[in-house]
Amino acid sequence: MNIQVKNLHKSYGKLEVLKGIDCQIREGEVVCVIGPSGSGKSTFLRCLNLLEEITSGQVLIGDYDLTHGKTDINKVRTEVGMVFQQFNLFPHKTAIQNVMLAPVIVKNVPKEAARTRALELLDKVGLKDKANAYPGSLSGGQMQRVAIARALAMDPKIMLFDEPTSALDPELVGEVLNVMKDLAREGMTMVVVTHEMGFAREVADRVIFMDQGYIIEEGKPEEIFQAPKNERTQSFLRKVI
Amino acid sequence: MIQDFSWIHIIPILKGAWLTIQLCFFSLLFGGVIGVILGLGATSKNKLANVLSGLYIRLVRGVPLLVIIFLVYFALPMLDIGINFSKGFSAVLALSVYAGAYMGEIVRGGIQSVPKGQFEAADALGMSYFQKFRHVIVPQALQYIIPPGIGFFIALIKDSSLVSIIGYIDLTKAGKVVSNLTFNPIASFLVVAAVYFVICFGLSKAAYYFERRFLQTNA
Repeated sequence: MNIQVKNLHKSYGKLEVLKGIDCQIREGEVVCVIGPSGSGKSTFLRCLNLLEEITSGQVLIGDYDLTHGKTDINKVRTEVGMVFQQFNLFPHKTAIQNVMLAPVIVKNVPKEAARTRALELLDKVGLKDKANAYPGSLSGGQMQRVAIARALAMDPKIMLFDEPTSALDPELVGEVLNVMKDLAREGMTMVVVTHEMGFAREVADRVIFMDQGYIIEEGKPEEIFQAPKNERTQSFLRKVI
Repeated sequence: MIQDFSWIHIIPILKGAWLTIQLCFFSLLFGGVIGVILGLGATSKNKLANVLSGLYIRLVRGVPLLVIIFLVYFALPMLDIGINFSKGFSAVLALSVYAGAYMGEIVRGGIQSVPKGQFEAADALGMSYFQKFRHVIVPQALQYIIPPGIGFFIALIKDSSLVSIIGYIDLTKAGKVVSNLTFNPIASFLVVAAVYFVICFGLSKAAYYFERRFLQTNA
């Protein structure tokens, strides 16, 4: 599934957060979105599954036009998985129940099949032994890996990551990034808002630098990191690297 | 004929207590339904539902219960809408309207206590509004709704004594009847007070026990 964004604007009242974003993301591509806080990168990501209402412009996810009133947004969301900064696991459900819930109730997958698939996914993120643990008893890194498994359980074509490691203790960042690297290697289409420049450099096919509601510069990681053309990109990278 | 207060007079008081319990049970049931609708309305993105729910809650909470009872029992039948406003029906209706507003506020508070991220996670997984509430929001909101809900129910039992004014033979009214019969208001109303206390204290104890068990299993 490709993503096409045309002249996307997003305002909260008078505050314009996105000021005309154009971008295309091809199937199988891993795109990292970087930029200072307040640059609109998270808002941009959240427009891709309509967690934020779009003020104007067009967003196409495959053949679905998100800005068309008749599009069944819940159908689109089953194809677009999302991982949040704050994990947002369901605290009243165990790890495996978190992973199974949406396939069972949204896609009507039989419970046994959903359980088998959930165990596979928990195994994939290295948490098979925590299947029956409640989120409250897991570390941040473990919670985020369960959250990734939960999103993958819907068999999405696209995965959105909203600063997935920003709320983690430094020593737990690696385990989450490793799961994401595996996903990227398997050919998942990924849009990752991140402050992990090492991850962006190593895994991304393309890096987008955003500032003040605009895409300032985009290109291959080596172009952006080694030879940024725009002055704002240069100054941002000087500060973070 | 004046009778001495004796054990026999406990019976009408207990009958009144039973009617009070029934009255409050049905009022809480219907009030709870109204409360859930108002709570969902007040938290929804729909502007109209928002405004209407807020209006209902603010209006009803700004009017004394006694006036609501009078409106339902004396004023509504004047409209001649073909419903028989018996004392029992009026009492349940008035208390339900009243309970609905307070339960609405409690439900709204409960829903808003669930972190925004939970709504977003459910949305991002493609859940419908109903699925989201049924599986994600309500199970978490209940822990914020049940304790104040029980507190309100206990207050409602005491407030329900106001329906004695329209002649519904609840616990308070039964006490008044016995008091008139025996000329012994001290014994009559002490017994009435004791019965209210036992009901309310018993409920709050049960609630405390339930809450502890409920919170333990959810920890």
